[in-house]
Amino acid sequence: MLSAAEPTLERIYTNHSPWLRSVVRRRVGCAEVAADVVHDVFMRLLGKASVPVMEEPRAYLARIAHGLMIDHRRRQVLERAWLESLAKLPEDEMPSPEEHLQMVEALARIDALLDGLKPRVRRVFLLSRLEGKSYPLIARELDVSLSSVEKDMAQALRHCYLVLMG
Amino acid sequence: MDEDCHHTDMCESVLDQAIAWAVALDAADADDMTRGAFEQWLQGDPLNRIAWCRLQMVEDEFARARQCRAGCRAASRRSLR
Repeated sequence: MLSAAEPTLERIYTNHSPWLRSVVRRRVGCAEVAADVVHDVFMRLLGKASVPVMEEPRAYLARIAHGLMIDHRRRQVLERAWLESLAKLPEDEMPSPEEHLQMVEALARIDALLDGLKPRVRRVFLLSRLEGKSYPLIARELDVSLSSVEKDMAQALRHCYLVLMG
Repeated sequence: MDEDCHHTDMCESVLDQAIAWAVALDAADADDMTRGAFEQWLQGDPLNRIAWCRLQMVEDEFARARQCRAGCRAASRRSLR
């Protein structure tokens, strides 16, 4: 049985989400984006095994929102690329909104790993590791030699390794 | 082994070897002989195993994204049945 003081997610949402939305809106200047960010903040809390103890719920929520706003710009770019690739899919393969969100998050992690690589190296690596294309196929698609695909792959692997391992 | 994967220092040349193997095994013509030679390299030195294991962490990141995408497609097909 929950006591009246128990901070259920529902209660936190009711008490603080309008406030959070207005704070985020002032920062990003767009009501729609603000609603998305607030939604993501609570999705993140929903994903936790239990509601975290928040001494200062608003500071806690604002901190998550802040991180999400920084990610937002980057995600917009990724999302656009992802949507462009979806546009090539038959309609019956379109993902649900939740799956779409998961994918965008996975892409954001990958994007951070590949940050700093030359566009072609990036492209070669993504075609191989995300699309599962063979080296000869990638070489044909990008009109480069097989050995340059191999060099790009080695460079990308080394780069990711160093980013991941620090 | 898991702990080994997190060692911070990795000899550059061992890392280069691990990467070269990853690329060689990827190549379309990676045959039994290549695989055999790779196994030999892998078992030849604990440092090689550590480098390989750590390189797999990079691969895991991409495997996750791939699964996620495959899941997207499978789920949307299911929902339309």
